Amino acid sequence: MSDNKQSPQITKVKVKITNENNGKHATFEETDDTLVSVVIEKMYKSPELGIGRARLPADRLRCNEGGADIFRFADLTLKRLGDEHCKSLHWLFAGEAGGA
Amino acid sequence: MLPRPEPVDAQVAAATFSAHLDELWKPGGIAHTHGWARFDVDPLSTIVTMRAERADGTKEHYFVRLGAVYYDAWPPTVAFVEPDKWMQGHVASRWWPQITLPPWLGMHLHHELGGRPGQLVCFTFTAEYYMTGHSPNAEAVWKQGVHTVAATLARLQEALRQPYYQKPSA
Repeated sequence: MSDNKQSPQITKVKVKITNENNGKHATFEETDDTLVSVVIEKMYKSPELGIGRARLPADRLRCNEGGADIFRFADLTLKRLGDEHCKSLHWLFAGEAGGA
Repeated sequence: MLPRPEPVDAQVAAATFSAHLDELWKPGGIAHTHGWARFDVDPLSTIVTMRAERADGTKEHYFVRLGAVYYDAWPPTVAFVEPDKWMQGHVASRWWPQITLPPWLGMHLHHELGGRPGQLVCFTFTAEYYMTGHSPNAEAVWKQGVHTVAATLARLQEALRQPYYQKPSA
């Protein structure tokens, strides 16, 4: 009896993140079944990006194309995020700013 | 109340400002991401050309003059300038953008700064913000070693995109 189930094809993808606080950027090579939350965790720990602290409530992480809030999609895989919300997989990190 | 900006040693300010700007213009850097162009006026000031896009896709550009007199103990000074003499305008013009303001930004065309009328592009990543008596959240305050001119330009660029940017003010 043959097994008709096909395992989904896993593809390597690159996620580029720019830290808008200092202009530094880093690229993370992942498989497209990786959760967005995993990349977010790596982002905060990345010496290249120089965030140097844990997440704060006012932090923002936006898609460079269209501005979608990446934190909202932490539970998605990179494939779903790319297919449905942020095709470019280029994210922009920003800490809090204030003004009036 | 936060302390007012004090001028930094000019050579140190110029070297830091130049190094931080150069970082943004490296291959793959944020300047290329957003299509910024840069023209250095002198060691302590530069003009950055920034693109704006309306909701209907119409594109315009603006010139932002950044000054490093207080940099990077404080953020750069910021003004939208007119291309004939790279000076800030004092009346609504093609070169002063009309923006639906996000909560972290104020835009004042006429404001008293040190007894002189001038623009006030008002958020925690401009030096002028600290000259006008604000009390921001601790996390929003400019921090030397954490923030660079990138933070200033990135927030301006965000305001020049949707859903905030409308059109030139005249």
